[in-house]
Amino acid sequence: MSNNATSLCDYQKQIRRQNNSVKLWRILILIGFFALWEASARLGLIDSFITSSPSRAGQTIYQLASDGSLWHHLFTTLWETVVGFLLGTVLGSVIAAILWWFPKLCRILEPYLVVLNALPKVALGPIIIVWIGAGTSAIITMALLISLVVTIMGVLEGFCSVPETRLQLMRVFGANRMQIFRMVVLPSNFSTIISCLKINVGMSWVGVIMGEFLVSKAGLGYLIVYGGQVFKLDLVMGATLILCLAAAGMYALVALLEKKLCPKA
Amino acid sequence: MADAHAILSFEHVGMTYFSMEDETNALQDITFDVRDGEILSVIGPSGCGKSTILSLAAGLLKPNEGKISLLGKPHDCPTAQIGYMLQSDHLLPWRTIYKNAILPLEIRNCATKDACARVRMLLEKYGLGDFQDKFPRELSGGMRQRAALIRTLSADPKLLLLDEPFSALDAQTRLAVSDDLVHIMREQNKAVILVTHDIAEAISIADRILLLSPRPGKIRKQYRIDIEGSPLQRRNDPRFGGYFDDIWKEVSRYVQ
Repeated sequence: MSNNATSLCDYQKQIRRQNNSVKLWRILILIGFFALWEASARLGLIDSFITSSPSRAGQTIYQLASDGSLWHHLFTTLWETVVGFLLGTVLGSVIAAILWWFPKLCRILEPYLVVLNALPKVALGPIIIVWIGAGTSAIITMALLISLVVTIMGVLEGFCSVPETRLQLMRVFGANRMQIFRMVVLPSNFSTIISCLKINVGMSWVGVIMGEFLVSKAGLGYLIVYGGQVFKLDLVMGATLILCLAAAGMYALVALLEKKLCPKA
Repeated sequence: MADAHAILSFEHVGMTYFSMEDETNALQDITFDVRDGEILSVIGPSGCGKSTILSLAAGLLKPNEGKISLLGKPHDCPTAQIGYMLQSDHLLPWRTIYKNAILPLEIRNCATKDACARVRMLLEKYGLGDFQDKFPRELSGGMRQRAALIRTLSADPKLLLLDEPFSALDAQTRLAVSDDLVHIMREQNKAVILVTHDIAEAISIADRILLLSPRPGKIRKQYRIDIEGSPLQRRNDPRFGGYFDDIWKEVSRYVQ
């Protein structure tokens, strides 16, 4: 950034101008993208049967919204995602706590965790469907599996990174393992867990959409895959746009939560 | 050997660490005791087992040889009789100063009204009254170290173990803080074992100094410091230089 301000007031003005210009460009790119898309479709430069167009996607969204099915699909997906990432974070943290508690168990299970982490969880899709049945619970399981292993590894690393001297001090004060966990290890990893929540929102979306591609009867992933199968690209594009908004909105909410809960982080 | 006034005594204590590759003989035949109200300083080259002595005294480690007794009884696990303080204050950032100070009481389930009132009184007395409900990040390094000392005093231990408590502070703060903390420890009349690598610091604070040899650490020599007063007053005493030269002559034989 250029900085040749001569006074604080000047400097503030410069920074504000720069920030505004960044914002302006962001909006211009968004508008430009949709305008170019719409114009190319109308002028026949691209085949709107394949690419759809913003107006046709918008119309589809409007129709879905007015007959109420949009909300049904949106909330199905939202519900699956929220349950998936909350379960993943909570269960992952609990398992990490158990592994911290039993260092030997942790050592024994380490290679299994590494393999599970490397494995693309989507490959387990058919197994999940056969075992759990084709339905919402299979989709949630998929979302859970994707975020679970990452959470275990992230939170466990946080638990194990508490400085040894601090634990030693607690032991001199006479603390048992439960007290050490409750008074030092858990609170010092509060922000680790919250940031896992942030990662897991994204992970959970992947799991839910993948799951919906495989088995669902409702949801945004269902709309996308159904639209693709019957070649209704308006539906595919419309559902994708809604998905973008929903995912961004949920991420923003979790980021806000993080800001509220750990203001210093 | 162990006399009746001893708070803590080591008798022919030896300590060896094992690893897959080899064994390390950290301490050999260590015998000493600390009396009520006495400040004992342990100095020696790095790696001579100074911190091992503290870990043994704290009951965190068990010696391979010899016997350690606390108030005349065998000592092998951490107890409320012993307070411990490290280089870093390790105040928990999500607790207020008061909450940090009563942590040892909470852990031992003895945060009674009286005990907590005593901690508040100590905080008041030693200038942290207005900071009780502040968080550690809002305090200066010296004040944090003072808060850490009050936390150590909260369970009213007989013996304080200090592992280089001043070495994380910058040079000027260090003098002021050591003056400050020694004043508190003297006033509370605690037995203290202070581990340091700083000869001048040891002379300015301790009543008695144990000089350890390089690994395996043995007690090379003992010095009794007969200067009265605060660390700063002691540093200005004409006898200070004499002690320093004596100890330095001995230490410099291993420092090449």
